Amino acid sequence: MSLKKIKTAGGVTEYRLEANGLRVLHKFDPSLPLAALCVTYHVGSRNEASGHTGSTHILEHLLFKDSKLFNRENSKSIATYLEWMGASINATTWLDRTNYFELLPKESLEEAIAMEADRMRHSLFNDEDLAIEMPVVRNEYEIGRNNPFELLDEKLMETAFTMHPYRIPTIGSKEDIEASNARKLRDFYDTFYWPNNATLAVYGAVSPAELRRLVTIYFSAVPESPKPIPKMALREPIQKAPRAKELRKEGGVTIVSLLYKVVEGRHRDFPALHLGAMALGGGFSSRLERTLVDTGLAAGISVSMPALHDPGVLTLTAHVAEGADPKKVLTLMRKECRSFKPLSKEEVRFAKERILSELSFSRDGLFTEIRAVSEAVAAGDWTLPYRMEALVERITSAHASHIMQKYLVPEGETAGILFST
Amino acid sequence: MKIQDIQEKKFAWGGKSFAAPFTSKEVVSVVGSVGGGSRTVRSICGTFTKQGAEFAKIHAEMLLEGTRTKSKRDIQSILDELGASLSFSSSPERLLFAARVRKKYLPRLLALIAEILKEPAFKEEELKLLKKREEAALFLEAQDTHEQAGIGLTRLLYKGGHPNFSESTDESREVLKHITAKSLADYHAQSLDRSSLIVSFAGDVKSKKLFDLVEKYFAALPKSRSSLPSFSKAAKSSAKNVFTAIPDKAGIDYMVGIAPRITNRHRDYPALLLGIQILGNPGFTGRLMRTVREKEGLTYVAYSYLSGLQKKTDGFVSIWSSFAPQLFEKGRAAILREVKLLAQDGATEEEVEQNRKLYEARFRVRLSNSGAIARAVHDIAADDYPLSYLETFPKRILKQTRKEVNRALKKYLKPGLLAESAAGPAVHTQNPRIEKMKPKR
Repeated sequence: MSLKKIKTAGGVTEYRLEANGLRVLHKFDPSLPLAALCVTYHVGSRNEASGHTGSTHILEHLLFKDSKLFNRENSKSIATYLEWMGASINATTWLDRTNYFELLPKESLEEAIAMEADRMRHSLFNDEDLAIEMPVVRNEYEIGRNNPFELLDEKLMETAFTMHPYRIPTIGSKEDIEASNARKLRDFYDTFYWPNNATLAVYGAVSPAELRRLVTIYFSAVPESPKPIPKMALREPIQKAPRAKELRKEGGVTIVSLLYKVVEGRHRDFPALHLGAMALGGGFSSRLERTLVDTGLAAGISVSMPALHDPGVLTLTAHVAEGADPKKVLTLMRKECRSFKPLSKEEVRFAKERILSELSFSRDGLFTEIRAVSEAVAAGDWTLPYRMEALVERITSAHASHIMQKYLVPEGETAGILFST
Repeated sequence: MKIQDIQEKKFAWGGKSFAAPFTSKEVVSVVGSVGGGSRTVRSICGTFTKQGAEFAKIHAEMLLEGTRTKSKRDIQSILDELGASLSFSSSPERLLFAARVRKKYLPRLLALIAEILKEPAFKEEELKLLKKREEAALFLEAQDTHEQAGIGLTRLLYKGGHPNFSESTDESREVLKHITAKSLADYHAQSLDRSSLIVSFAGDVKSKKLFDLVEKYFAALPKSRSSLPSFSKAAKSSAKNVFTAIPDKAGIDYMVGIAPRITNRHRDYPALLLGIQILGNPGFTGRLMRTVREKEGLTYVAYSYLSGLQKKTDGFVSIWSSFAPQLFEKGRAAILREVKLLAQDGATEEEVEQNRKLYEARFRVRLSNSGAIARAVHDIAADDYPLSYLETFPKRILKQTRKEVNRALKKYLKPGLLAESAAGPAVHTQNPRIEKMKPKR
């Protein structure tokens, strides 16, 4: 069985392992004696059923427990074996994906590939492992609850989405986390952790021949899933009116957020939205920076619009300045969005430069680049970061303004205020 | 990246620059600094601010608020036009700047940085706005359990005036009220000294062109002669504790530490560094993570650090963890148990061997993007090390023996003299040692 070349973009070649459908992305960069590796599973909290929230994340923790060939008994503990070789090793779970990644000296790459292949189907986690890991997961949950920005963001997503699982935070609900058990998680693992539901990316000082050798040795024997991977087909109903949420927390932080429903990362409107969002709240001289920060109403502004697999959100967040009225801040933010004025040529030029710079910065170092690609993989098109430059270059101010006006509408809006009490 | 590829230039007027070519196409990272920071603030404005940190922070942040010929908005527009990031910050001994830009815009960015340093405006109206933003940031700091636990720890270990002593949030608020545009302008005029300039570049760079740019834009910075005030080393260790109560929080941040009263030039430094790595190397391999998280499941994170050491500054050991309130007592006991075990029994030969290799490999892995390289080169120059330190220090670590590591741990990591700081919701306990950690606010 061979590694079949599919396509190339941005110096990256996509292959498909014919034995089991594993997608492999490779970029040869011999400038440093390092390699970066990332396995992205196409399963995130969007794939969780009601009552099982947080499962993807707990499973990510458990994948650091023993596997058949990498375990504490043979002194090859997954959590520490590669780290002793100097590897930076970790994993993250989010809405659309779970990714496991390592940056390491190139001579250790073979061990890393062997380990990722082994834990793909041979993780040995059990109830005892889960019992030990539960307080760890709970502590991570508590760290998140300590962050007021994260707290408001979660409540807004819960309000903005009524049906789609994006409404549930990746960490899950406390009740579901507490009710988790190894059997349920094993079912989840057996449903989603298969090579035909994963993308392996290897960047760095690894030649195509070496990649071919390692992937063939370690991944060819991993079987394809016996059943089709379930598709998450839930669609969020169209929102018809603005929504709002208010929270009260003891302490001194007041935050205002405004969220609009937008398209999925692969959609043709996404680049223009990205550009418009940058002009609205992303740059040093963005509209909201001038309206809110330069006038002393806000201590800071941020904008976020991740490229997601399903239709997602554009979120604007203001850290309200001491003594400023959060309702006034919200009114001004709304005004900027709902009455979105046509972008000037200068605004478009600046936003383009910032996006192009961000794209260049996202390729500064193997680790940064491979993680950016993992997000694009999760959004459904790994070539996005490599095509974005050309897509952004083509956008005109008239088009970007039209697109912003199309999406920043009251019926797509969810507003939130976290009041300090 | 090889050390021999990094070019160094010492200018006739005293400044230094470094150029480290790196594979990042089109991207250049810049890390630079001049003398300044909280210690210089204390030297120049001693009667006004005891510690200097908040003043130094506001001074650094005000630099982006306008120059004599450019308004804040002009500066913002230039940065947006270049797609560049630029920030100013302060450390105890330096005023730092960090930037990232595409190669074609580097000359314009350097011209802007030089103008900001040479002719900052310090306008009263911009200061007023910045103060409002900073007040909000300080409210956030007051609610941040990690920040408050950290502040609490350094205040137990050091006396005011030491570079590693942290101003409390309330002290910062008080200093903030009294900062004026004139005090910032006076301080800037007295402190800025071109001979202390260090600029480190990494990325898609060619050294000759870069050094010409540094000469062109920075040679005309003013000269000054500010001196740094002296400070006392950390007091001799003693068991102390503090609990900063922050209601309505889900978890407790816990920090425990000790000040070994040595600088990074001390002969025991590499051995102690390795010992502290064995205890709580950030990652999964430290003893704390392997036991308190992996075996006992008491926390998400348990790391230890040896920080704040410079050529003339004695640093401190800190151990950081985070617990659910109901697990705090058990978690704290587990951390203290591991510290005691390591200090008393020492590390095993295998642990020392593994950690030597780990340090060396990690060092290589860490220098894998232009920002990290620019920062590393800048920092060793700022601490008066030669460039060769990038190669010689990992080699020194590789030579540390088990005996040296365990001797350093026994000598400096005194379990009975640890200082403890925690921040979060109040806990109810029968444990008399935790009971002593009375809420301070």
